[in-house]
This record gives sequence, structure tokens and C-alpha cells, in this order.
Amino acid sequence: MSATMPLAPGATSIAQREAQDLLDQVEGVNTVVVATVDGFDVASALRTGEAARVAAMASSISAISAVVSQEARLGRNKSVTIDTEAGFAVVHSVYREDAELVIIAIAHGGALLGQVNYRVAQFARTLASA
Amino acid sequence: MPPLKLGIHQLAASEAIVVRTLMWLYGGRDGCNWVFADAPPYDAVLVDAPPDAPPTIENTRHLVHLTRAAHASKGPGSLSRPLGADKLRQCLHQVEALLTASPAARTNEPAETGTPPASSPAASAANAPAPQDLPTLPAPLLPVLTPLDFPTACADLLPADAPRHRLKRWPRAAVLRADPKRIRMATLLSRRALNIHDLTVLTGYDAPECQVFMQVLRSSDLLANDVLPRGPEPVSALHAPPTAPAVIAATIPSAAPSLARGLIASFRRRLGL
Amino acid sequence: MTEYKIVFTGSMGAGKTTAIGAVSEIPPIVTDVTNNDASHGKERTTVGLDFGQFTLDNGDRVRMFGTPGQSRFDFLWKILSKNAIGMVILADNSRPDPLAELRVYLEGFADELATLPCAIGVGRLQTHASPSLDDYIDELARHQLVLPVLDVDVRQRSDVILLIDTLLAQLEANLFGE
Repeated sequence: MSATMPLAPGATSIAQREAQDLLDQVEGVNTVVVATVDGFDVASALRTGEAARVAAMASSISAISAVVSQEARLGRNKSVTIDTEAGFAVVHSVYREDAELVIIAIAHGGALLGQVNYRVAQFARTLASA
Repeated sequence: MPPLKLGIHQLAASEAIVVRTLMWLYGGRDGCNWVFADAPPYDAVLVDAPPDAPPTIENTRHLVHLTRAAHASKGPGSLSRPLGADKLRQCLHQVEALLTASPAARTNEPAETGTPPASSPAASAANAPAPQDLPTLPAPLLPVLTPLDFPTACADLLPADAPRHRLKRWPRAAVLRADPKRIRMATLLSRRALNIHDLTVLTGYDAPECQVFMQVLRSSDLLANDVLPRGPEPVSALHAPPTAPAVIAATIPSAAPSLARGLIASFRRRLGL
Repeated sequence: MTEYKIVFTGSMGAGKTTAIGAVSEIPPIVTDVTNNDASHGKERTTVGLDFGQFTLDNGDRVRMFGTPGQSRFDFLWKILSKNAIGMVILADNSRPDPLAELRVYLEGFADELATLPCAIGVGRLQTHASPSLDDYIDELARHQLVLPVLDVDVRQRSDVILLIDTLLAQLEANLFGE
């Protein structure tokens, strides 16, 4: 499937490096994917799962979250946390001038939610200005 | 020669519908030179009255008395019950022979009261070929036909236990002609084996209209040959039994079929159907 | 109050969002975003779901959900079609191979299509005559499916209603005799 990648090549390499760093440095994280808003993976670092599938799911979650925040008149959507029995996932929006992106980090129960949230938010800021 | 016109007078509603339906199916084609007329002038009128008390009907050339079998006599003046396509057709053939004879030779309905003179046109008409000698009526209702403006058909007249058929494949566009009624009937038949009675009950459409369409489907080889005489069996798109009563039960587990039918009616009202 | 669901699915650009909008009594909720898929000329595409509804005279609600068209979102297809009372598959006849795209949905929803009422609406037949409606019917027959296949313009409310009416007729047929 072809996609017109909206990111500048420099931004794409930053995204890839940051995704790998997050995976390597944060305890419990086993999947990091950066996706376009329409569900194509731009960069990824995974120990499990498929980047393409995770990217599609991340874009869906982000889009539905955006509707919720619009309907509730709460402004622009920033992030969503999916809390599960055995872990959690954090989905964060990235607003750039050339494209909107979505970062998803999936972690098992041993990870610290606060730490993962902090690192993903930092990743999003870095990518937004890259 | 223009078609001859048949009317009816004081027939029971159920018999009136039978006559209208038969004339609509067979009138004006394949050797039958008669059409149904709602108003005079008539060439012949089918009346529910004994031959010895004929009603006065204006602009009528000939009366045919509908009688019980015990009182039937041969000839163009009477037709015995129960009504049937071949009997009606033979009678009309006899009446036509009578009416098209020369005026000098035409007698004034001798057949109702006794054996006509052997040389009279009435006798000739009485000796018209028996039904089995007439050309076999082909399956009526080609795709070009359109239903006449009938009163609502009496579904009770149609056999409820007639063989049922379902669609083998969705009809081509030329068969459906973008007609919402045909589309609805085809949809029903795609899901369940039905007969004409079932279709009239489900759709509320006139029986002739349902029969037209079933004949069109049959002539297009779209109806499955496996007829199901015993009762409707639901068929899914993949011909496996669906979860009954359909998927509605999944959302209202306690829904009775009547409730579900009410729901469908509510849907249609809301959508303006 | 009871709620019912009808699902609209089909390839990207086939008109799912438009179809829901044609019938919904509320402005449809859409989750469409910028499209980066070069194989489709559309600017925006649905990635979550579309949502519309109308209310019946007894107060029950009918919710219409539109799925994303691309197969990478097929995880949503199953979720959105759960407990639906019917499904409409819309096809865009201007696509390079619309029958191949139809196959994706026939196979993707194969389990549901065993029982769920379904209708196929083919759009843009007036401007793109091939494949013909009869070709779609042949494709369904190859899958042993007998489903309504209609030439539609989903911008016309009457065409969308006709599709929904065929779902209702299928439900009626299922109920007949019970």
C-alpha cells in the first residue's frame, strides 16, 4: 500500500531514533509506533506486534478521541490512555505544520504509567518542532 | 377485429376478482379476443342470476348466467361454477361465435332455456371445441406487461399451500427495471422460499402484480427448482438457516415476531416508505 | 427505548459518510482525517467511524455506523458490525477494480453475511458503466450469495432509503411464518 509520506526526511529519522530510544530506555515498553493520522506507520520500534496494524489502531483511537473532545468543547485532543488488566497504551497527538501524527506506546504491567506518559509527551514535543 | 368486452353484474366479490384476474391474465391474447370492461357498452355480461330471471343491463349484447353445476346447460348462455380459466375461455369462445354470426341468423339466447336449433349459431357456439381442443395457453405475463388498476386482491383466493420458490441469484437490472416493488419482492424471495399468496401477504401488493413478477422470474430461470410445499423455511444469503427471529432478537432478546414486525413497520413509516 | 444499528461499509470514496448524512436526523459525526494514501484521490478519509441516527415514532433509535474503507482498519469492521440488524456495502464503480474491492468486504464479513441482512449499493455507474450491475451480481453468485444489488447515488436520500428498505424486507422474510 502506498502512502504519500508528509514528513520531511529529517523529521522521519528523528522519529525513528526517538521511538527506539523510548523502547530501549523505558522499562516495560514493548511497542512504539509513530503513525500518520490516517493510519500509516512512519517510524516504529517493537518487540512485539505489527507496526502497520498498530498504526491503524492508533489513528482510529486518536480520531475518536478528537471527536470526544470536540463534542465536549474541550479543545484540541492531546492524548488518550488505555488502561488494561495487563498493561496500558498511551496515544499522543503530534501537531506539526506539515502533518498531524500520532504516537502510540504500549507497555506491560511492570511499566510506570507516569513515566511512559512523560516520555511520550516529550517525544511528541520533539517531533512537533523537528 | 377489436376485442370484445366482458362485464360482470352482481357477482360476489371473490368471483369478481377471479374473473378480473383471469381476463387480465389471458384477455386479448392467444386466441382470446375478449377484454374486461368496467363499464358499458358490453358485448357480454356475466351475471349471477338464473336464466329465467335475466337482469336488464343497458348496452349489452349477450348475457352469460353463472350457475351451479347442476343447473348448467351447454352453450354460450351459461357458465357453471366453480369458475376456471378454461371454462371461461370456452364460454367466451362460444359467445364470440354467436355474436359474430350474421344478425339474421343470430337467436336471442336460446341456450339458456333449452337445446338450440341444430342449425342456429347458438348451436354452433354450443358445439365449439372442448377446452382440450383449444390451443394451450402459454405462460402469461411477459416482462412488458404492467398490472391494471385492480382492486386489492383477495389473498384468500390464492392457495396458501402452493409450491414455494426462492431466488437462485439476484435478478438482472432489466428484470427489476428499478421498480421498488419488484426490488422488494425480489428481496423477499432472496431470503425465503415463497409463493404468490405469501408475497401478497408480505407486501400488500395485488395478486396479479405478484404473479406477473413470479412469472417473469420463472421465465428468466431465476427461481430455484427445489419447491418447498410444506411451509416457509428461512434461507440466508448463504442458504444456511439464519438465527431466528433474525438479528433483531440479538438486540431485543424477548422480542416476539409480532413486535419485530411492528418495528419494521415503524422503520418504514419513519423513512416514508 | 431500544437502539438498533445499521452498518455502512465499502471502499474508500464509495459514499459511506454521504449515505449516512442523507438519512441522519442529526449532523453526522465523522472521524475523517487527511488522506495520505496516494492510490486514492480523496483529500480526507474515515479512520474511526461515522455516526448518524434517526428516531422511530415509538422513540426507539436507529444508529448508523460507517466503517473506514481500507482493509488496514478491518479490526473496526467486526467491532462496528456487532449486533447490527443489517449492513450496506457501498461500491465505487469509478475505482480501477471495484469487483476486487467488493471481494474484500464479502470475505471480510463472510461470517456476518451468513445471517446478517445485507444490500450492495453501486455508485457512479452512470459515469463508469463497467463493470456493470450484472457483473456485480455474477460476483455475488460466485460467492454463493443472493443479495440485493442496486444502482445508487447516495447523495439522493431516496436511493439510501431504498437500500435500507431491502434490509427491512430481508428481516421481514426472516420473520415470515413465525
